[in-house]
Order: sequence, then C-alpha cells, then structure tokens
Amino acid sequence: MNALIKWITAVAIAVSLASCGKSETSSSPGGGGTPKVAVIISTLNNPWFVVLAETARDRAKELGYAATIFDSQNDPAKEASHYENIIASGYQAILFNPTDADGSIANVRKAKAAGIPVFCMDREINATDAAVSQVLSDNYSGCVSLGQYFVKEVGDTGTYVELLGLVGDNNTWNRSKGFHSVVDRYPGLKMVAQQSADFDRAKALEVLESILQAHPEIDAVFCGNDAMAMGAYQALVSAGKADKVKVFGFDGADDVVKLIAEGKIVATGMQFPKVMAQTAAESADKYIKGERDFPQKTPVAVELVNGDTVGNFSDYGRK
Amino acid sequence: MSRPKQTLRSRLLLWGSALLGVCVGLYVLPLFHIVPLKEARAQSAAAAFDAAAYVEEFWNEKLLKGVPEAVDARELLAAFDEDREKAAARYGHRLGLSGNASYFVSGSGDITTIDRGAIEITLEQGGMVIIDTGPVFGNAIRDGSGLLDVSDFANSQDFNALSSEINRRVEEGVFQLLKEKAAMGAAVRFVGAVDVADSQSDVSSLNLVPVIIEFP
Repeated sequence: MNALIKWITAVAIAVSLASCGKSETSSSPGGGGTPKVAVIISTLNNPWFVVLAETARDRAKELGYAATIFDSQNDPAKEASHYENIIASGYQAILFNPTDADGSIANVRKAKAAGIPVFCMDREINATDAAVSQVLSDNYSGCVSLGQYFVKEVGDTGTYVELLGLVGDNNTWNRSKGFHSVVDRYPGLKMVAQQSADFDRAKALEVLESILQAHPEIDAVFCGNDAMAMGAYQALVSAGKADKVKVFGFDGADDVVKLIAEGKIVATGMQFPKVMAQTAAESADKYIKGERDFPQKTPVAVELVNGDTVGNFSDYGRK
Repeated sequence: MSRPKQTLRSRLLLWGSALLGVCVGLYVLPLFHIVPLKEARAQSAAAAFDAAAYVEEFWNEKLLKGVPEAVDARELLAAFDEDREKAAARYGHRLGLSGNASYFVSGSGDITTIDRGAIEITLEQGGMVIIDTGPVFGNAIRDGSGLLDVSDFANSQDFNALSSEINRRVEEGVFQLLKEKAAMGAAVRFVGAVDVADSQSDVSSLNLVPVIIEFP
C-alpha cells in the first residue's frame, strides 16, 4: 500500500498547486501610478480601424489614463491571448473591437469575471449581459439608405457585383442585408457575382479583377467597406472601366470621401469612428468613477455621403 | 517469491481503480455529446428569431394600443415651425446617437393629390402629409413608436428584421386599402410614423409611413 499512499499524496499536491493558478490578481485601483485602459482592435491593417484605435487611446489619455493599443490581427486566438495578458496586468477597462460576434463573447466574460469592464466599439458581440455597453454603427440602416441611393443612381435595371467583408463579422451581413432589402425589390437589377474580399483593399483588387474576366460588362460595384471600394476602383482603373462602372463603399474613409468629392466614387456611408471611440472611452471613465447606468447598446446612425452631401464630411466625421 | 507477486497485484489494483475512477468520471461528466443531425437543426431553428411572430404581437398588443399617444400632425408641424430642437426633444425618438428623429403621428384631412408614387393629404387646419406609396424602407415605425428597445436584442440583425417585417405589413395591409379606396377629395384619418433629419431644412410637410388609414 506504500505505492497507493504515494500516489494519493502526489495527486493531492498536484490539485492544491493547480488551484493556485486560478486566483486573479486584480489590481487595486489605489495602487499608485496612472490607471491603465486597454484598447483592443480587430486589425490595424485598415486605416479606418487605426482611426478608431487612436481616437480611443487619445481620448482615454485626455481623461487621465495610460492607454495601450492591442492588435488582434483579425485572429480570435490572438485576441484571446491579449485578454489573458490584460487580465493579468491590472487594466481598469477594455475598449474592445471584437473579431467575432460569437467567438469573442467568452473573452468578454473572462474580463467581466475578473472585474474589468468591457466597452464594445463599432462591432457587437451577440450577448447583452457580458459587455457593460456597446457603441455600434447602425450598419443595416446605413446600407438601406445606400441601397436607395444605388437604385436612384444606377436605375431599376442593370448588373452589379457585390464584394463582401469578413464572413464572421455581423456587420458584413448587416450591410449586405440592408443593401439587398432595397435592391432586391427591383428585379431588373441583377447581381452577377458576390464574393468576399475580407474588408481588404489588396484582396478586393484581385477579386474584382478576376470577376471582370467573367463579367466584363457591369454597371456597378457595391463594396462592404471603403478599403474594398478603393481596391475595386483600382481594378476598374486598370481595366479602363472606371468611368463606366459606379462604385459604392461603406465606412466614410478619407480616401473614398476625397474620390466622391472628385466624382470618381459615387457614395459611401459615414460611420463616425471618432464618435464611437470617444463615447466608449468616456463611458469607461464614467464607469471607473462609479456610474453604472449604461444602455447596453447605443447605435450610432450612419449618414449617406454622396456628391451632394460630401461637403459636410471630412476626416472620419462631420466637418 | 511472494514479494514480486504482491507488488504486481497492488499495481494492478492501483491502475484498475484509477481506470474505474476515470470511467465513472467520464460517465458523469462526458467530454462530448452526440446529437442526431435532425435534432440539432431543430434546436437551432427553435432558437432562431421569428420576426414575423414578434411583429404580429408587437403590432397588435403594443403599437395599436399606443395610438392615443401619437402626436397630432398639425401640432407637430407648428412645433417644428417654432423650434426644431425643442420639438424633436419633446415629441421625437432617437435611436442611439443619430442625426435623425422619428415621430408617431395621427391626424385627419382630405386627399388632394393622387400620383403613381404618392398620395398627398391636406390637413384640416392647413399643412400637408405625404404618403409615398412605393416600396417601404427604413425604421420610421419601429423607432417612431418609441416602444422597442434595441438593447433587448442580442443580435442587431434581429432588431433590423423587425423593420423589414413591419414594412412588409404596411405594404400588404394599409397600402392595399389605400389602393382600393383612395379618391380625390376623400376624407381620411391616419396614424403613422415620420422620420425627420436634423439637417432637413424644409419641414412644412410630413412624409408618413402609415400604420392605420381610415375612411370615415
């Protein structure tokens, strides 16, 4: 029975050591030094998200916090490891741009369990009891307006291509559904191709170039974001079709707004990343100072930017 | 020669009981469940949001009962004339941070224009309400009613599906009635929703998405 006793002792020691790892060392707020806020962004590869991240960081700094930006590179696994890092490092709040509406929920719950409030920006998570609040762009309604303008500009008959964003992002489908809820009502408007270009400019260039091989005569392209609209526009310029094909984007990125002012791209939806980032940072500050009454979701309306209204917009917001 | 046998037996006993322990553990807390495909599909379908059912209940139980709270169209137009911001704050509903407010409006008047795409109603004490009779888009009724909270919906797409369903009801219900009965000079009573952008300079008429139309 010696072996049995040794075995039981070994297991007992192992179990007690294992439970040591679970205890969270949450920082004491009064623990000296500037309080820290983390800004987790889905990707810094897209200038729109860079604006979101930097505005959040800058606003947090203005409010008296040390802010650090973490780039998830569109990878839920990287995002999870950022969360592990942040939870272990004494941050007071997280300003969060999720990579996956379903996949990111677990990370937010971990932070919540560790006593760190999470404020979502731009993209949502499919849960209303995890984040403290979510400041979201009303993508569906923005694309309904864009779709109505699309029909006005392209007419009730014609052919078009749709470039979709990342398929795991709620916003991709909100935008596509909003657009189709209008355009599909006009049977004369035919979608000849629909493909994902992952919200990426270089990929959109490639994807549209190959679609144009199969469908050289199209009237318009609807892109789920402005980075793809720029790629699509480049593809059309190379093919010599930039003045025949109407390009529509979504985001309100500076480069597309400039091209709209020049009449080269037809329209986009302005998303107000600065408003969302500032609101999230301010909510985090209020929470840290004791406020608890936050609406779970605050949609931020998207405004149509076209040749007529472009004068009102610049620099990712209203002039 | 008894010692080697004893060690072997005790080792066998040890490993045997450990294995038994693991098996019992896995029985109580299994690592995975096998669910027949049909059952899994049925489960996810049941959990999926039924916009039609939700809107059916919302329309009959809440929206129609909210009619007495609708602001009179004439009163709203007068309030806009006086002070746009105050009117929006008092009568309007904003969804989150928006440059647009929605209103729930009622009133009566006479039909003064019938076009292929629109019907114009001139109000009893002056002022105009226009009903665009093309396909219905937007969130005027969902947001103008002030009865729905976006925070109650875990997935924004469910909240958006409500507008599609509401708009479909308007097209298949109220618009059909209008088609049949609208005539020049006819007296009509209406209840519906109006969206007004803060940047809209001309608010002398209201673009109405109707919930109720009655020809008294």
